[in-house]
Amino acid sequence: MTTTSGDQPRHDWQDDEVLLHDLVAALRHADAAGQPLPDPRAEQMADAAWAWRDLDAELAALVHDSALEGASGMRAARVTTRTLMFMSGPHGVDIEVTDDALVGQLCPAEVGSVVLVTLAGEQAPVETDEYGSFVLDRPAEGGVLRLRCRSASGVLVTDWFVL
Amino acid sequence: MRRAAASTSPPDSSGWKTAVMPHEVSVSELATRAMDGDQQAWRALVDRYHPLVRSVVRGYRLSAADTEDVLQTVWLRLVEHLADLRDAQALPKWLMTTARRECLRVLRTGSRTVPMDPLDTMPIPEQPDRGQVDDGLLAAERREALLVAFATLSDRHRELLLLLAADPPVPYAEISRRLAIPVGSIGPTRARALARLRLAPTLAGHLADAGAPTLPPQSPLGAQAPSTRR
Repeated sequence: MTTTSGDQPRHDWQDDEVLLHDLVAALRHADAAGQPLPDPRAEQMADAAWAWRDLDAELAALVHDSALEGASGMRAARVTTRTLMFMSGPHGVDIEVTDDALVGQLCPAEVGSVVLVTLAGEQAPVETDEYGSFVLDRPAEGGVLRLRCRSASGVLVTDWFVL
Repeated sequence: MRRAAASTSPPDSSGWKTAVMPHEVSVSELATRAMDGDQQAWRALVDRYHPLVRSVVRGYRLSAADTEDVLQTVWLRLVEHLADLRDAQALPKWLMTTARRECLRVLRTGSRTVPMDPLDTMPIPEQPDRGQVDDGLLAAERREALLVAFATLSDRHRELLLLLAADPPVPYAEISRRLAIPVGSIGPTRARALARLRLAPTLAGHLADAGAPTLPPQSPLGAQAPSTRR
């Protein structure tokens, strides 16, 4: 950014350094003035959310997340196993997050299959046992995910969440 | 800034959404249209509230990866919960609450804590108009032109320039990882992004004022690279 360090301002925007410098200054000025900067991520996030809408399934909302429970502080939440509960009316899914797996159960208990969905795609479905319990491999990479559960009651998708 | 964006000729599809969907459209109408399957309305809704959500998230000083997860989670959830929000007035509160809860979740489940969001790490300059104090109006006009031109760039080009603008500087290795391009092509890509910036209609007059040719030598390379991320 030394190209404009002299007393004489330069406006030669054919010069890459000058153009970049002035652009950065404009972005920072807008930021300082509280003007919303165009965020390159906003549109791709909007499009991802749009593309992944699941219009046919019943949406089970996140109603409990142990990571958010308890005023007793962060340490307690960190040492215990994280549990999540998703509900839609009488139907729901409970999930327990271990180091390498998602252990869950359909509620009420019924036989079905469960698919882990990430923004990269869907994994192979896993069958539940007779009590509706299932174990999914915890995805190695982070990121946003959801479960889609198919049973005699229909198709249920959880809210998106992050491990 | 937005009015100027809307009054110039609309950029191509990678440009600013507000150019397509004017700000006068009410939030409840955008939400209704989005629920009816209008993707442009959905984009406009996200565009309008993304700064709000980002301002909530930045307060938690999360890593870039965590910030991205939180922002993405908020929009993934909203698109499916629009129908639950009976009143458009409830939308900002819903967004802020969802974002806060996700940020708390990040903090409590333990994660990286290095703030790396290039938009959030830009310091406030003491004198953004250094060298242009005598000509405040012109300076404002030039900044406006740059910002509008910037908004017409492709996602990749915008992201690269934002990363290059970050202070402290983002290492090239990190830029390479985030944009999925080799370190060696960052320089050429930067040159193409800047060449593209010069081609924006709002910069034409300013380039002419400088007495320089309108088309930079790199213009054949200025063709927009397809966005391959995600």
